[in-house]
Amino acid sequence: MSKRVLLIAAVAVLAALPLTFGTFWINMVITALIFSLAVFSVNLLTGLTGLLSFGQAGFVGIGAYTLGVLAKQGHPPILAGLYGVLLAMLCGFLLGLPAARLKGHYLAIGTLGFGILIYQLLTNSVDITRGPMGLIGIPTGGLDKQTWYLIMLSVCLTMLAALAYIDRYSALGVVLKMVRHDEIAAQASGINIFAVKLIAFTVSAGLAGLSGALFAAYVRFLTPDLFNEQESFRYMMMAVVGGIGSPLGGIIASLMLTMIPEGLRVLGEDNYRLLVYGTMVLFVLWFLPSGIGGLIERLRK
Amino acid sequence: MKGHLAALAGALLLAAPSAALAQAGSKGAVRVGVLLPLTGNTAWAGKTNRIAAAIAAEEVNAQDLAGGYKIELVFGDSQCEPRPAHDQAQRLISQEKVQLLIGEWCSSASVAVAQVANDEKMPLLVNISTADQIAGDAGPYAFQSSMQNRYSQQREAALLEKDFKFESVAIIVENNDFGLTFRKNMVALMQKAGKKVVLDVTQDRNDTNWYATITRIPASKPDLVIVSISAVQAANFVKQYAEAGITTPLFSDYPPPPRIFERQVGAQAGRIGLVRAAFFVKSETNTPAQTEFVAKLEARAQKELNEAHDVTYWDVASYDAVRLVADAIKRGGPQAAGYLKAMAATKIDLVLGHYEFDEKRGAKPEGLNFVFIRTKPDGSIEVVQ
Amino acid sequence: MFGQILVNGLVLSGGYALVAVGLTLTFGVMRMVNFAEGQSVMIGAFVAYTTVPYVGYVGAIAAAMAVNAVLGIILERTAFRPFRGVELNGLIASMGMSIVLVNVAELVWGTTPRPFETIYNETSINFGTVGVSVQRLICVAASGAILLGLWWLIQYTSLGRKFRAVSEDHETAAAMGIDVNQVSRLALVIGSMMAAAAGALAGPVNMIAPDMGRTEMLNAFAAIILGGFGNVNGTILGALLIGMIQSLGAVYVSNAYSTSIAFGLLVLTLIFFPRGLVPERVDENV
Repeated sequence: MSKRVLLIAAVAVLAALPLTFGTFWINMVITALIFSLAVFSVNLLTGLTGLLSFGQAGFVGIGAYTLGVLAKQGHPPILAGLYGVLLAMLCGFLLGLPAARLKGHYLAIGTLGFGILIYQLLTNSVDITRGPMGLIGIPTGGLDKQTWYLIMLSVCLTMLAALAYIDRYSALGVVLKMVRHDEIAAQASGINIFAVKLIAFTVSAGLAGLSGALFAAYVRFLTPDLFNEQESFRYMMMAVVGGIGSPLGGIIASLMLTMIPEGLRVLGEDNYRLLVYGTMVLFVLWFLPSGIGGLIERLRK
Repeated sequence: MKGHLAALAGALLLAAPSAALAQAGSKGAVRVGVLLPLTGNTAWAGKTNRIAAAIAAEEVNAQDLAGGYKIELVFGDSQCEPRPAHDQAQRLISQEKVQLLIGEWCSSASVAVAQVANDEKMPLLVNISTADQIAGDAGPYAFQSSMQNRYSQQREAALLEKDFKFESVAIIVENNDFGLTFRKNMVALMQKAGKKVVLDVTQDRNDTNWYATITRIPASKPDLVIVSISAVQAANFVKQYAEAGITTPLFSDYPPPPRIFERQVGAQAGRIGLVRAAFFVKSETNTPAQTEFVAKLEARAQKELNEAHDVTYWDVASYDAVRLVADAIKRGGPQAAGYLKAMAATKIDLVLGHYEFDEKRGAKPEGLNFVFIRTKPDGSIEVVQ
Repeated sequence: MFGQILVNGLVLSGGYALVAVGLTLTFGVMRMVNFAEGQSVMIGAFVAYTTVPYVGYVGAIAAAMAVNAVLGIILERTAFRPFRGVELNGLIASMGMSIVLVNVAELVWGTTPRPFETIYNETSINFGTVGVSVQRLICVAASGAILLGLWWLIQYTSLGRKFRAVSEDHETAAAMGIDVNQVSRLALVIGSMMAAAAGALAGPVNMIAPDMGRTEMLNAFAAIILGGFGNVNGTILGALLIGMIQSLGAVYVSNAYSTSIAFGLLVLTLIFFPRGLVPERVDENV
């Protein structure tokens, strides 16, 4: 009984907390939560299944632009978002077909190439996406920041729960982890490695696409620069700082790495704060090898 | 699970001091937010633009050009990128409590700022980005005081027809918004004028290797090469063009900043006899207002940045923007409704020229300064026509 | 026209090769990809640019290599050695270092792109209807010479043998008495020095700015895949291939997709050759 009360209390605190912050910081929290979905996709693909991917920004972009373009053409935004996620999953599947046969750093660079291809496609398909001219005024307005915060909080908590479930209690999780630890043994036990990897690619692409669709719906403008390879590196960085296998660490890392550079503006509007930021990332990696997620695990024990 | 939630709450609480730390909270007369790239690869422009804007604000306050109000500028570093621009616009509006906004430099960032301004019902003056129709697309709170791409391209086409003898033309652009609109407009304008487009290349703007493209020029035998390539890429292109020994006349759309560009590739540009468009360049043809501004800015830049600076169009645009805002405040007050009406009725002469806005809230191009400059063999600039 | 495409391809390849070889050395010995490589190129270019007025061009290249050697030691200590066994973290640590390096460069040199002028930029040699500046030709020649030197080092010296040993199996190598840490440090030092050379040689071709080096790094990645991680010879060939393909693609396919062409071909190659054109040994899971 007390456990349940604590749970409800914690959720209530979380839901109410940012109301004390002010619009700017809620905005940062919302964008951090949106990007944490992309980080989740990395947790699933890399943390759980052991597949390196530097192309997640491509899927985020697909989700975002699908919602943006379709919504501007008059389709209902939720439907447009759904199409975005589905299209991203399809692309994830298509990427998985060749990628499932790649290992380690070959996979990393191969997915990087895919991400770059998507970025250049988004930039150059001016007739569809308006390319560098950008999309303004995606018609998903009407929700205030508090509502968006609650939406994102619910989505992220749901995904957290789902990922935790997959990780600890489901057969899928077992299978994914087996593929990560020891492919040959997994194959020997009769598991279809190829199919498992395809599933991992597809689902994680869907998560990333969801992140993109929500991003487009929230900020209501898009330019292709938002989905270049630097972004993929950023998701990877957040995932590692958070602990590659820990979605909770992922959310926390996303929050930290989004809000701390902003907070560091007190150091002045120039390069020093970014210097501090880069050094911080290094410090986390040096002293917390399993990332923030690892720290949490240790604190629990 | 509860442990997880507690951790999450803890993280948010941890971030709160960051929020408190960064809160400014001073009161003033009219707070005007200015978004500029102060770090990142366009910071070389942003740093002096900021000084120009500051000079304008000081003059407004000293000479009471805002109808009794004092202007207080609050700067945000938008890094010329959409996400920082979005976040900084939010910060200026909700934390710094600005009443009006000016910005940004790059078109993708301006799109982001325009969206935020529209959502927050915050009047915005897009002063530097020249992308077509930003004000029109973004909604009733946005004005654009810079000359839009299509107007400058019309002027360029007119000059080309008048001063260059050519039947065939090669068009080379980057795939950013200047380049793509330049290409679209120029192809149409050339065809209308009966000229043949013999080469039409769009290059990825992150690709610094122009040699492959340049290789195709002699093969297609154009009488004239026109390009729209911005800033450092323009310098790269001109350098490689000169090294390749091509003698076909070269005309460039406006982005390469005068004198900074000359310091980078003046010798090569002079060898080619590069002609390009520019909104502003310091020369004997300057109006008294322009000469005065140049002197003021150079002195301040020398003092604050400790380096000699050649005034660019973006500095002028930043100065003029603050003056435009002050003028609108004078006639309509700082509240949105009055301010927007006053801005729409603007009729004022500032450094770049005469400012008036059309029904889509873009500046009318007729009054604004626009020149063509040629780089001479010794690396100096002369104003053409 | 084809001659020009060839020359252009060679010039591109020369630049990529130097960067790619540095990456491949690091990978071979440490099993980690160095995401700060692009910044090593950038720092090399800037150091050379700053020292040219004092020591001349050749001296500047040497100075750049010297500074980068120190940079390599720093990188090894901060971003690689702590993460042996957790390679993904090492990769991210090198990303962190790259952020640090870019911002240090912006603070020291400012963000205005600068022209790195050398006398070789002035003269051009004509191949067909289009000229190539002597600087570019020097780029190719010097890259070739440096790579030859490196190849000789790997094949015929004891250090080279140690590199190969550690690349193949660092536990066995350690058991045989090789100081793996020292070899790692040297790999990173040499890799950074190559990056410095790449920066100092290719810097004069275009403007230099603190944000340069990113595209070179991406293309170097593509080269490594083709040539095989850890395989120096293969990487050089990979760089050649990528340079040529980009050069051809720019003329016959499209300029707007130049990086995609290289990577697209790469992905295609990986479909048929999942371990690259020159596969490395399988070292785990058995």
